[in-house]
Order: sequence, then C-alpha cells, then structure tokens
Amino acid sequence: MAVASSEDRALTAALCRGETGAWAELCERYGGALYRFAFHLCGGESAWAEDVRQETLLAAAAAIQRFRGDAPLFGWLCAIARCKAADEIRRRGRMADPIPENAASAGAWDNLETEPLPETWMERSELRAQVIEALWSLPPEYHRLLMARYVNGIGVDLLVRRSGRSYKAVESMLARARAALRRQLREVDHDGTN
Amino acid sequence: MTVRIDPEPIGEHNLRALITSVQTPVAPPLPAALAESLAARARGGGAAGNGLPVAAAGCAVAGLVLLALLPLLPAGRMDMRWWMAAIPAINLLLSPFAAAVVIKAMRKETSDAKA
Repeated sequence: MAVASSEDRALTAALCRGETGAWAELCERYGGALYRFAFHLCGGESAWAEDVRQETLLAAAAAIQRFRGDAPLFGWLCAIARCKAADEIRRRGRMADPIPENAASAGAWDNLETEPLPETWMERSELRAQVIEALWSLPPEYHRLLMARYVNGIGVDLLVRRSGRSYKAVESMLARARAALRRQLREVDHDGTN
Repeated sequence: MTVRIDPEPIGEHNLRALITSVQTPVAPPLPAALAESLAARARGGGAAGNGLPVAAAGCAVAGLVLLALLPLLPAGRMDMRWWMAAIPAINLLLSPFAAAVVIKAMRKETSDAKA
C-alpha cells in the first residue's frame, strides 16, 4: 500500500506546527486537484464542489495532528472529501448517491496495458475521481514527470536536457512513473478511501 | 521513401488519455486568507476538538465532588445539606447546556473560518 512521500511528510510536519506557509503550499499543491475531485464526486455541481473543497480543508486543519502518514496526503484529503459530500447528500435527502462506489468500477483498471479504453469511459465521473486521486497521490517527482510529458507535451529529448539525466534514465523514470500510476489506480479502485 | 512511426503502445496511450482528461474544469482560486485560517485552526485544533468533552466532564466531576463532600457536613445542619445537595445537582443538570454552548461556539468558529 502506498504511503506518504517524503515531501508529503515534510509538509505534514509543517502543517502540524500550524505554519501559514505550509498551509498555503498545501492549497497551492492540492487545491486545484481537490476541487476537480470534488467536482466529479458532486456530479459536476461547481458550487457544491467548492463547498466540499473548503469544508475538506477546514476538516483537514482540525484533524492534521491525527494524520499518521500511512497513506498519501492527497488520498487522505480525498477520504475527507468523500465524507463531506456524503454529509451533504444526507442533508439534501438525496436518493441517488453520486459518490464513487467501488463496486461500480471494481477491476476497471486491470486491462489498462492491453486493451484500449472504452470510448464512454471517461464520461463516468466516479472513474475520473479515481484518476485524480491516483495521479495526485503519486510521489511528486513521478507526478511532475507525467504532467510534463502528457499534459504539457514535452518530449523525452527536452526532458533529458532539462533534467540533466541520460536519455535512458529519463525513459526508465517515465516507465516507473507509469507503473506507479497503474498500481495507484488499482489501489484506489480496490481500497476506495485509501 | 515513407517513414513509419511506431504507434504509441496501448498502455501509454491509455494513461495519456486518462491524465489529460482530468485537467478540467479549472478550479476557482481559494480565498487569500484561507491559509491563515487553516494554520490557526491547526494550531488550536486540539483544544477546540477537546472543548466539548472537557466542559461536560468538568461540570460532571465538580458535581460529583460536591456530592462526595456532603457526608462531611456536621449533623444537624440540614438546611446547609439541602443547599449543598442542590449545588451539585444544578451542576450536573447544567453540564448538557455547557456542552451545547461549546458546540455553538465551535460551529460559529467554523463558519467564521469558512467565511
């Protein structure tokens, strides 16, 4: 099971001391992803997602002393967000439950290496929420590398020049990052709240 | 001469699709003062979290101590005993109200921090 990265542990120590800079860094590092996670959790309601994000951060601040670091920090935030969304669902008295149910996607990521993704798959909000949780729970160096390669479209050659590593080393690190993401996806899928 | 470009492996193509699909929507910015509120909350989190049980337990213990002291009163001072019995009883009765006051204060603090 994935645990908090060394960067997360250092950040957590500063968060526990109540350092404003550390909390600003948490908001900067995870604020956007937490909003998107909540957005998919809340069925695309932006105002509700914003509420869930703020309530999650407030609850995290109250409970940070109890965070043991045996899971990634972002996974812990996601678990709180699920609870906050569930609270709101109970308040609203909704019958339909938009919170990701593991049963609905169990095994969804098992054939990621061998079969193309079904076209309609990424329209499923519970799967998107899982991808966000897995991607931001990765060790930061893997996360940054995957974002640079696939979101910013930076080629391996440029990554080699920027990092000062060999071509082989960057390719190898990319492969490890992809493997870590696949593992994390399966973990999030099967463990649910991480 | 044609150059054949190897297609991206399925696994890599899938991951690329997954990663790019979760970059939207763009999150609205968090309030500038939020980090300060969160830090203050983290510093005082333990005390605020323990406020409720501490207040309730404090009232209850004070009541029980006063009850335990009753037999020490000199015999024949019944009027005094009635008063001494009334104080812990009132104390015990008040403990849920003390708890309610603490809950209310904590809720207000949460909504203030949120604002």
